[in-house]
Amino acid sequence: MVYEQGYPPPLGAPAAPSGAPAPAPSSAPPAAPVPAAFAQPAALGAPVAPTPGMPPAAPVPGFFQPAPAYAGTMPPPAAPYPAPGFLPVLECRALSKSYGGAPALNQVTLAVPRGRVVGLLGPNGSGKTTLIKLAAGLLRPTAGEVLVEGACPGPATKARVSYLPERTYFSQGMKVTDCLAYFEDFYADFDRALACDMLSRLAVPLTAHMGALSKGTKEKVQLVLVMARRAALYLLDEPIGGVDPATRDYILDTIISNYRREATILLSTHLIADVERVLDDFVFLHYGTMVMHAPAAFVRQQYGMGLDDYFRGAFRC
Amino acid sequence: MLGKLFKYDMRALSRTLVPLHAAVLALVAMGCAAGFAGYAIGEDAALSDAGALLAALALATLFCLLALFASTVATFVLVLSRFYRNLFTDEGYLTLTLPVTANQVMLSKTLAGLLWVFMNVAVVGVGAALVSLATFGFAGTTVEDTLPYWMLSVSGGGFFGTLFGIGGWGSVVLGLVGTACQLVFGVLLAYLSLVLGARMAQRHKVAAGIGMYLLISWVIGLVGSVVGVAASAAAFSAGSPSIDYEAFSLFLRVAGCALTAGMSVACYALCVNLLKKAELA
Repeated sequence: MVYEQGYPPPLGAPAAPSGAPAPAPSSAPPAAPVPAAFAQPAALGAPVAPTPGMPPAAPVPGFFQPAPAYAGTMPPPAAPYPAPGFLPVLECRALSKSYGGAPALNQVTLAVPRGRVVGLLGPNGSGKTTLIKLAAGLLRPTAGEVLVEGACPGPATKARVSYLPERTYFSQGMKVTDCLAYFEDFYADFDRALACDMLSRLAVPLTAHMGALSKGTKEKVQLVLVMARRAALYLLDEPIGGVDPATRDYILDTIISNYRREATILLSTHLIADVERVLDDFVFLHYGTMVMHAPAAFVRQQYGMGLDDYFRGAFRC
Repeated sequence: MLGKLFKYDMRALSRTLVPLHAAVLALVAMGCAAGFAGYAIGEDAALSDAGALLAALALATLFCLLALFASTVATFVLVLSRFYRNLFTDEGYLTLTLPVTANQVMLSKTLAGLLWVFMNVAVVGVGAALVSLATFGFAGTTVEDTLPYWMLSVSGGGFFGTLFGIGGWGSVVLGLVGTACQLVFGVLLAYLSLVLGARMAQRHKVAAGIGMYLLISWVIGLVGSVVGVAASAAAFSAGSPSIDYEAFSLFLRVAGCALTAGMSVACYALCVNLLKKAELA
C-alpha cells in the first residue's frame, strides 16, 4: 500500500504524550526540530520546505502524491487529497474572502475526502470560522470557489451538510421538543429517536425552554441535534469552546460515538490538545492562509511531538 | 418546505400576537361597556354628576380606541421584529442554513406577516365599529355612523364620491382596496428596508433599516405627489378637453392601487435577490 508508512493510527487511539518522542521507523533519520515560522504556505501536493540550517524532515514515501485509482467504493483513508475518481466532500479552489478591505481568507486550496475527521486549527483570527461559514453557505467568496460534493453551497448542499455554529441559534422561546420537531421537519436525514436517546442520557427535559437552559446545556442540545443527522459533512465551529473540560470530553465523545465512517467531520477549534486524539487529519490556517494540511500522525512521526506542542512552537507569539 | 416555514413563522408570531389580540378584544369589550354606560347616563337626565361621569366614560372610550390603533402599530413592529431576528441575528444561522430557497423564506415571512396584519386591521376595524355603535347605545344607528366607515369612506375618496355620484359604500370598498394595497406595500417596503440596512451597515443595522424606510417612503411620497399634481393640472388646465371628474377620480384611485401593487412586487423581488446574497459575518 502506497501510504503504509504514513498511515495514521486508528481513530480514537491516544496520541503520543507531549514531549515524548514517537517511535520512529528504523530507516528514518532523527526527528527534525519544529521550524520557527512558515514563510510560505505549503502547497498541496508539495512537501514542506525545510528551514535553512536545520536537517530536512524525512519525507514520507508516497506522501502528498496522488494515489493510484482504487477499485473499491471508499477512498484510501490515509490520503489528505482524494484519490482520482473519488469526489471530495469539501473542496476549496483558491478561496478568498475579504470583509471590506480586510482579508480573512487568502487563496486557500484544499480538498477533504469522505470518511475523515479533520481538525481546522489555527490561532484566533486565522479564518477558521470564515471557511466553515463559506462551506455552510452563510458567506459568499470574494474570489475562488468552495464546493460541497462538487456543488456550490445552496439548498441541495444544505440538505447534506450539518452545521453547528459557535452560538445558540434557536429562539429562546422554543422548547427542546420544538427544536426536535424543527429538525425533523426540515431535514429528512434527522434521526429523532437517536436525538431523544442522547438528550435523555444528558437528562435534558424535553419540555424545557431553550432560554431556561445553561450555556453548556444549550450547546449540548444543539450538538445532539446536529450529530443526530445522517449528513455527508458535519461542520462544527468551535464545539468545545466556552465549556468546562468535562463537557468538552463529553462533546468529543458524542461526536466520535455518533460519527459514521462514510461521513466527514470538519471541526474548528483552537483547543488542539483536547481534539488531537480524535483527528485523522488537520488543516492549519494562519492569517487566512493554509499553512499545512496533513494527517495528524505526520507531526508525531516527523517531529516527535503532538499537534498541540507543534502548534505552540510554530505559532509562538 | 414552504408550508413548514409558514407554520413556524406563524407559530413564532402567534406566541406574542395572540395574547396581544386577546387584550385588544378585552379593550373592545371595555370600550363598548364605557360607551353604552355613557349613552345610558346621557339618557338619564335625573342623574347628578352626570357630566363628570360622562367625561370619564368618554375618556375611557377614547383611550380604548387609541389602544386599538396602537395595537396595529404593535403588530407591525412585531412582524418586522420577527423578520429581522429570524434572518439577521443568531437565529439566522439556522434559517439561512435550511435546505430551502430564498424565495421560500421570503414568501413564508410575507404571508405570515400579512396574515397577521390583515387580521389585526379586521379586529381593530370591527372593534372600533362596535365601540362607535356603543356610544349610541346600539340604537337607531347604522354602520355608516361608525368611525371605521367614515375613515374608509374618506380614504376611498368619499367626498369626491358623494360629489360626483359614487355611493358611500362604493367609496368604502375603494378605501378597503386601497388600504389593503397600502398595507401590503408597507410591509414589503419595511422588509426591503431591513434587508438593505443589514446589507449596507456593519453595526446599527436596525437603525440603518429605519433610515432606509424613511428615505424610500419620502422619495415615493414626493414623486407620487409631483406626478399626481402634474396629472391633475394637465387634466384640468384651461386649454384641455373637458374630463369627467368622477371618471378621473376613479382613474386616479385605480392607478394608485396598481402602482402600489407594482411597487410591492418590486420590493418582494428585490428582497429575494438580496436574501440570496445575504451574509452572516
